[in-house]
Amino acid sequence: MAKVRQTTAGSVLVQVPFVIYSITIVAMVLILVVTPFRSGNDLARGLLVRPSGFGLGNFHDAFASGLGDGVRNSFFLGASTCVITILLGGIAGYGISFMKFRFRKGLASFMNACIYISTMLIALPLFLQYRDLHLVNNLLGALLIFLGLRLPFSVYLFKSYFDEFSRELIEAAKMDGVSDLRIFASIVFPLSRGVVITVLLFNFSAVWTDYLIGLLFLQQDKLMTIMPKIMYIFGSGPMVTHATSLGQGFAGLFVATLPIVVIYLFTKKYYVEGLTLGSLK
Amino acid sequence: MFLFSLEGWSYLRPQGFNNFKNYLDLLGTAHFYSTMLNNVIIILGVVPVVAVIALAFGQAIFSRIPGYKLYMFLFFIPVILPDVVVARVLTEVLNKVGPLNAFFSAIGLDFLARDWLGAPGLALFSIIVSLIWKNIGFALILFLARLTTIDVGIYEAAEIDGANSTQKYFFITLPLLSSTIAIYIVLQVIGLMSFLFNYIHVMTAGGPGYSSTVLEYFIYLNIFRLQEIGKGSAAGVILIVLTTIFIYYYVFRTSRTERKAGRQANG
Repeated sequence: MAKVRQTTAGSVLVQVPFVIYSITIVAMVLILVVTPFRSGNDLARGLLVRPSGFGLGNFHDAFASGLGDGVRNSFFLGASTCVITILLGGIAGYGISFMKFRFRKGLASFMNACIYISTMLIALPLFLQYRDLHLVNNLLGALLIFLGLRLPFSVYLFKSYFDEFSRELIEAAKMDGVSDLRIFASIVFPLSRGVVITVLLFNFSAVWTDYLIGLLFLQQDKLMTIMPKIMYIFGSGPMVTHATSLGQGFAGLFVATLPIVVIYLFTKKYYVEGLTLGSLK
Repeated sequence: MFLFSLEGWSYLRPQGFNNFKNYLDLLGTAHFYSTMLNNVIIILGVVPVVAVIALAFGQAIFSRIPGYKLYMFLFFIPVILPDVVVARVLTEVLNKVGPLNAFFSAIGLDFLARDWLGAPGLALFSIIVSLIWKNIGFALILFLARLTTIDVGIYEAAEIDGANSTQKYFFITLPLLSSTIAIYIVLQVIGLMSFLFNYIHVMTAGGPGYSSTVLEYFIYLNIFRLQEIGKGSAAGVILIVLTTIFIYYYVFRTSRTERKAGRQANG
């Protein structure tokens, strides 16, 4: 009997840190979900004031402040980045994985390394070039940067996936004289659904949640991406809290978080796959 | 970038080689050292804490404590939330008149109420706690993924040899996790050195003063705010050199294990 009681006491104790951390997460989610629906007058008096009512006013105001532009720009950039990185990344990954050429392994490692280079370090030289080329405040210019930032990850993910592909199938097709592009398009690519979803998920989230590139390269009102737009609505400067814009800003945060959470719920399995890439072997 | 760091700059235009003046300037900047120190403090403050918490959580979830499915679901939420969103909400929470301080006074701990992001010593501490909160789930995913691939046969063998659960953990589980822990540390250090801009910019803008500036933010300040391109580039070169060490280790490690896996697959 004593032993049983002991283990229950132990297992209750184990729960304590779990419950504490869970509470902080639930609190964060609650703040994120409830605040945008509260009235501006309440928020002006603090986050904890008892709400006098709920409504969609903040969303209305936020879109009037240009949140829609941010959503549209970020969605355009995210979707285009996904389409192009999947095509180019898939082909490059195929090349690195199946074709034999010099420095193949080196190229793969180089791609792997590029994933982890600080965006800040890429931003400076790019900014100076873009200024001279008049590409600052140009959506297509920003798209090029996002492609450059996301391709190494995409190529490497495709390559890792293709490495575990059946060699026999490819060899057989090659024997029959099928061209590489044809093999890629009709055999390999259709069998890569999982990795395509993973690339899609990560690249879209990365572009959607980007802050630095948008902040530096798309400064015009109409061209801002969603995160800089939200911070702009908040009244930019940290520590400055314009009470009236608090509700609008939170409405922005809500709009920005929603697609990420929805995508995550549908693609949970692939999310873990992408995060653990290369760390488990 | 390296070339930029050697040139003199005037109004965002390069003016030619200037005898390493940028580096000398950089080394003569007093808050450059505090910036580097802040980087070290953040890494030492975040990595071990997250690793220990995630290891403990991972082991408990792996042994299927009651409610483990719910915890798994909840603990991934901080990981998927965008940096800017987390940073902005926490800025509100940590506000001098925000919910955290209200919470402390509600439970009678008034003396704990602080200006969490506005006081020089505290801003960095608050950022560290925020980063720990955000990153536990990431480490947990890595550790759990490794735990599920461990062969149960090892534990059965150890049990037959009379090992208790503490011994099993420290002599079997932990050594088997060591390479995953190493990978976690490397990835986290790279992340903390190179991808911290969002938090710093949103929560404190490196302030008050330079008390929460890190190397990455220092580069941003110099280049895009103070127009000190040369000095900022020199700091950039230092960041490249420092992170390259970790990136090299990581890439070397993954490509080596891939080769090993390839050999095994080919017999």
